[in-house]
Amino acid sequence: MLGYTGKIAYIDLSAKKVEIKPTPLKLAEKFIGGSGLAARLLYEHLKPEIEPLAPEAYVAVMAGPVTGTALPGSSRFAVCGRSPLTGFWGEATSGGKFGAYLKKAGFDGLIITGKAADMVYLEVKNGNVEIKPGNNLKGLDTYELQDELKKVYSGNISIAGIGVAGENLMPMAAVINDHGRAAGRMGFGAVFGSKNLKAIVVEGQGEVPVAAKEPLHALARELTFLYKKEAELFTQYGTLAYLDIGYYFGDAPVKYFTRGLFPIDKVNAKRFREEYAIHPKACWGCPIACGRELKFKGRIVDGPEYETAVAFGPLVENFDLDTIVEANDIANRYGFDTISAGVTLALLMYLKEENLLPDNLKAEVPDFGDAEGIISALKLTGEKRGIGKLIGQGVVKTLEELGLSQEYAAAVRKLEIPMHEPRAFTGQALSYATGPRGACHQRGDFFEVDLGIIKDEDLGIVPGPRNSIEGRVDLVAKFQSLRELDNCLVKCNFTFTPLKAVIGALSFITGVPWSPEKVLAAANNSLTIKRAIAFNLGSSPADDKLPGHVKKPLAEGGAFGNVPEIEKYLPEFYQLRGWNLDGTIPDEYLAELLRDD
Amino acid sequence: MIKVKVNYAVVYNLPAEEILLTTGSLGELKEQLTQKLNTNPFNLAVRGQIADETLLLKDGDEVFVFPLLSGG
Repeated sequence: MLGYTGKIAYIDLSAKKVEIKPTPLKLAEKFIGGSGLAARLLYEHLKPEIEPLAPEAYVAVMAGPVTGTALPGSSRFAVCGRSPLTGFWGEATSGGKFGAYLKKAGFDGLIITGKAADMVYLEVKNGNVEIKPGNNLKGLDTYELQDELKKVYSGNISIAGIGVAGENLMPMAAVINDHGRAAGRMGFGAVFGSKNLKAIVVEGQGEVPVAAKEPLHALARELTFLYKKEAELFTQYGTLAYLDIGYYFGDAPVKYFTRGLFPIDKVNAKRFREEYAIHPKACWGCPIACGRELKFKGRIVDGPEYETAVAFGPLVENFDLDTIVEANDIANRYGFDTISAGVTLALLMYLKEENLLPDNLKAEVPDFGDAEGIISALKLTGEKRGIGKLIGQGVVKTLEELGLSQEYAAAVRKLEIPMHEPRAFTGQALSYATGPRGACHQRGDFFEVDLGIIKDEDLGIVPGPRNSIEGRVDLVAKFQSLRELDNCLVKCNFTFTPLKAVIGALSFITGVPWSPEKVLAAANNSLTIKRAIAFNLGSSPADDKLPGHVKKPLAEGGAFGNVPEIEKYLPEFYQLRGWNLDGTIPDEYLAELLRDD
Repeated sequence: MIKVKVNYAVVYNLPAEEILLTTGSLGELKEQLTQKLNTNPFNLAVRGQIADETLLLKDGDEVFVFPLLSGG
């Protein structure tokens, strides 16, 4: 089967050993690639007794069959393993050019374990991996890291690495690649840090083997034309364009999920464009260029994206654009997740306002809207000092440490809820509750279905009433599967491609016929094995729920009054996945997934 | 004839306006807006819910026009 380089490197940093093994293509047919294949390959290694930051822990850096091909949106890669933030299955993806170059360097994935005695980095090129000394990289931020390694490497290279937050083993530390591209969620920066792994340099010289180059290129040209035509405003404004759309529908959370209104005229895409010289920035091979680069205080910084603009904006009641831009830059440089950091900071502000914080913390935690306090708190987070120690570990551990109820935690499976209000779209709420990594907008961004942003009429994916999923549970499950397919391929969510075209591309790439049933079954397999891993690591179907904090009706805004009722739909959802009615996984289904053939 | 208020997503850089409709259907409004908004695909929401073209608007209804863009 083509589309795969056929090689996965297994790297043991303790033993300073690299072993290159063939990509198990039989399993690739069952899980396709990306985080799905990673979950299968890591299944036996992710055990409750091995803590996420232990030397014996594993982390996989994966591409998929479409990665590095002509298909638009094919630059991404996934970082997977046991999350230090949640303790369960974790995965995060990122764009830029790293994924494409990893494939072009000859690998479908890198599976890393062990711990180097001193700081190291990996050099990946021409089908080889070398462990290189990296003590000189210690303490560098993620931009300095790029600069330093580019003194050694040039040409078609891409670098993914960690900043100080990762070195400090902060549970929400990110892996940042290229400039400001983040595999942000779930703390894999800390996993890199725990292994004394500062960075991975990939040199992408080769070509990804595909079975039918011409038809693939013709399809890619057609899709590129479509995206360019339809995404003109997306190119101009990036994901920030969604700010006032989200506001209208009550999708942008405000003041730690307690309000629905904010001064949208102060924080919207137009204001950002008026305030800064913004340039679109594209990932490798992408016609859309949704990324942003802007000039701030005399230097070029990346972003912010919609998620970050809300997390450091309305969520903490900050409407000062400079503060949002600076907060994003701090997170990028130190290398931590803007969503989890924003949510945890907002939690502390909320607890302060509700008079639930101990006296010694009250002075340290800023009030909602305190711009200077926000910047200071985020710097402390990167440095793991003061209240930054609390923020860096996320809402669940923060509440544990404070001895407060988990009902205040805006999180599912211990992962902080991203910037899409579950009360604005009931289908989104069900996606959060059943997501393979916890509350995640990228593994079932159902709000886009009910806004008519994404449609696939062949599959019955059409919008419906956003406050109800009655009679539409199958649609939520199907859309979650489609997004899971993206994570297996590994393909960008923003280039939504009708399934028919995805199957065409996958068949052209691999030379193997794929059908809707086969790819959706693979996506289901991927979701199921990730769930099985989460269960092995201490989660259970009881975690398929929203926290109490977001189950109170909002008194204002576009999500006014709605409390998503999802519990009654869970048995139907489970059944659609082939799980037992209580949400557990049938033994025979799991056994089938664990077979090597 | 009915009059509806149309609010545009900020990326259109267009002020809110009142538009007269003969049949009052959302389809009629969509047709008028299609010419104005060039080729970029868009959707219409009424009372917080996206609506299809058969919906009959009422005098004084407010319609929100937004492009098909995602916030990742």
